Amino acid sequence: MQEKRYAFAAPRDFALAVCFILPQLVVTGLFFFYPAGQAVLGSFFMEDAFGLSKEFVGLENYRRLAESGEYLHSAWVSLVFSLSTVLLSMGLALVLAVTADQAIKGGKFYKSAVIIPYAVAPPLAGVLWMFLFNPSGGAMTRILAGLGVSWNHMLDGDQAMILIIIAASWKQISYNFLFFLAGLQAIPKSLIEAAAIDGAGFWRRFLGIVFPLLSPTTFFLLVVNTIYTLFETFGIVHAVTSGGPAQATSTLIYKVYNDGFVGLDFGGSSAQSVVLMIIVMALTFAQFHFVEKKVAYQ
Amino acid sequence: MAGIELRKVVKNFGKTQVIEGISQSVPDGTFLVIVGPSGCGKSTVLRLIAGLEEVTSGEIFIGERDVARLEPKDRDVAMVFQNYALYPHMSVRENICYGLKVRGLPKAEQERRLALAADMLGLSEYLDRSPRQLSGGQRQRVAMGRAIVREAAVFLFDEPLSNLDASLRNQMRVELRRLHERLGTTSIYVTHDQVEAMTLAQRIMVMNQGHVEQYGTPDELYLSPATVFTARFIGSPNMNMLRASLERGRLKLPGGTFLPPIPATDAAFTGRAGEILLGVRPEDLLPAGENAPETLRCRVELVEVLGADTLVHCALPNEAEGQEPIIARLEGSSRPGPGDVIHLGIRHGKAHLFDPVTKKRLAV
Ligand SMILES: Nc1ncnc2c1ncn2[C@@H]1O[C@H](COP(=O)(O)OP(=O)(O)O)[C@@H](O)[C@H]1O
Ligand SMILES: [Mg+2]
Repeated sequence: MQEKRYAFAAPRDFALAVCFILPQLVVTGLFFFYPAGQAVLGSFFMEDAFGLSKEFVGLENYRRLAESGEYLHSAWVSLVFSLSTVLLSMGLALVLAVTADQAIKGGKFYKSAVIIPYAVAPPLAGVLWMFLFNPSGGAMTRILAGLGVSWNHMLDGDQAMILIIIAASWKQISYNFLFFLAGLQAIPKSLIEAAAIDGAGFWRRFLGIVFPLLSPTTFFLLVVNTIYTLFETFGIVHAVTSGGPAQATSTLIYKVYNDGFVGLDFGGSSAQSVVLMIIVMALTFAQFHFVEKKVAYQ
Repeated sequence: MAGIELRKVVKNFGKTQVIEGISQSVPDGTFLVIVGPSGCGKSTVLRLIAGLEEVTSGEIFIGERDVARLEPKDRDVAMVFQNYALYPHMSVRENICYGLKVRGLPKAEQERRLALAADMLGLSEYLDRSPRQLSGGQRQRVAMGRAIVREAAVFLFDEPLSNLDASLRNQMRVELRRLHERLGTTSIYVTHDQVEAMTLAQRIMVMNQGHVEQYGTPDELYLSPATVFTARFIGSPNMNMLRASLERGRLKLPGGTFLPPIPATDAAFTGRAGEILLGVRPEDLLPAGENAPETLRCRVELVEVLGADTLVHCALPNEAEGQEPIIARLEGSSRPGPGDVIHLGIRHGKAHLFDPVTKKRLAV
């Protein structure tokens, strides 16, 4: 995660550099800055119920958000969902990576097995989980029934939450695994050996040496995974629970969509997406600030 | 403190045998240097003793205990790594005390040992710095401090000076010697550098391709190398190795001259005839008068002036296939030029004879 900065020697080089990044700039402008600008603008206006007229309302949309019980509920749902998904996917990935780092025989097979989920397209993954947990006759549903758990995420809000957490974590485990494994392998073996001779057993070494040295990776993943759970999981929520039952899985990003495109409240929806945008900007800033400056040891 | 004894230690990596059954004992308090070319298994031996690798078979005694199956932490050894292996997220103080903290030593005792080691190594001012704020030499010292405070029975060093520049290396070598004189801890020091080995060691173990070529004091190795390998490996420039032959108890040199008769006392020579390897160190070649019968007549090819002495690279014509290279270390004032023909005699008693097949030493 180290960054190299190049100074351009001549204006000619600068022009060339611009040529190289221009396509990317155009794409970013068209698909990111333009809609983002629209959202910021839209958040200051309110439309009438039929979408015929627009009125400038200043911060009214934001004030309403702050007072809306539904919005606060959605924020809470998002918090539970994001925290659980991040902890579950990172925790499991770390355990798998540490195991893979130790494994000598069959290591290749093991690594491939953990990485495969990342190659499965998200909609497919969503469908897969839906089949497995289908309330009427899914394989997992039957296994759970055998264990005395009656599973129906269409009716039970907690179960719906558990299902989208599992579905969202599943793919992310592969991604996190790769980063953790690379991070572990970047730690010089001699450090672990020195600690072993110094008298530290496995856990002591892990907590005192390995985990602290892994912290740049951990922090990076923490940010990336949080952003993932806030945004990219829209598809999973949409496919698996549609925010239900009774808003139990209506995360912030899902609510942006629902209020905007189903509820047709563009002003409120825009204000919500601006709030999300600010959260992401803060996270990205923290990422650059801490990973680059504080957490790196080399 | 304790001595170390290896008994028939074998190590295989997969199907390759890397250590071919080493048996050797190191008396308590000895500074032993293991030296040999890269890849000969030096580090592996050290790591076997430390417990970082598991022996395939054999026993390793530290003091009275066979430690071959123990965890590294239970072997009472301390180790200094080539890359120092300092914990980058800990201060110098934490680095040095980590092993004590892990072992649950009382805080006061930790402080006492830390102060002692820091004083000994001149680290007292740097205790609160992080390793990345230190120079190479200082990091090296921290690594040694970490070993010293453990007060372990055995110190293990794996090429600890090879990442330092030449002058710092010389300085640290002297300090290591002093440290050992002061602490008297049994130490095993691995290096591929024979100069380092000669200057540091009380005992040297020369290794080659997974076995021990010779074990002895630096003098023993230098003055009577047991094999051609040791003879060539120890000493710089390398010992000259000439193909000679034995005829009626006399050594016939390449080029046709005979050396004085060899005393018939040595059983190895009686009845022996044919090819033999003659080793002569460059400093044991002396300029001789032209008409002396027992000299090597060679042509000078290159002259290296070192100041105190001069290294003369020559070609020695031999009967069979032309020439053999030979290097002589002559006095600084002696300056033959390329193309000159010079006559060299062998210093009395300094001819080393080896069997050309077994490569073992023949005479004492
Ligand atoms: N972990 C390992 N796996 C396989 N081969 C190894 C391993 N460690 C060392 N070797 C091999 O063992 C031989 C001796 O290595 P080493 O003890 O490191 O040599 P040295 O320290 O004398 O340079 C080398 O040929 C090396 O390739
Ligand atoms: Mg080595």
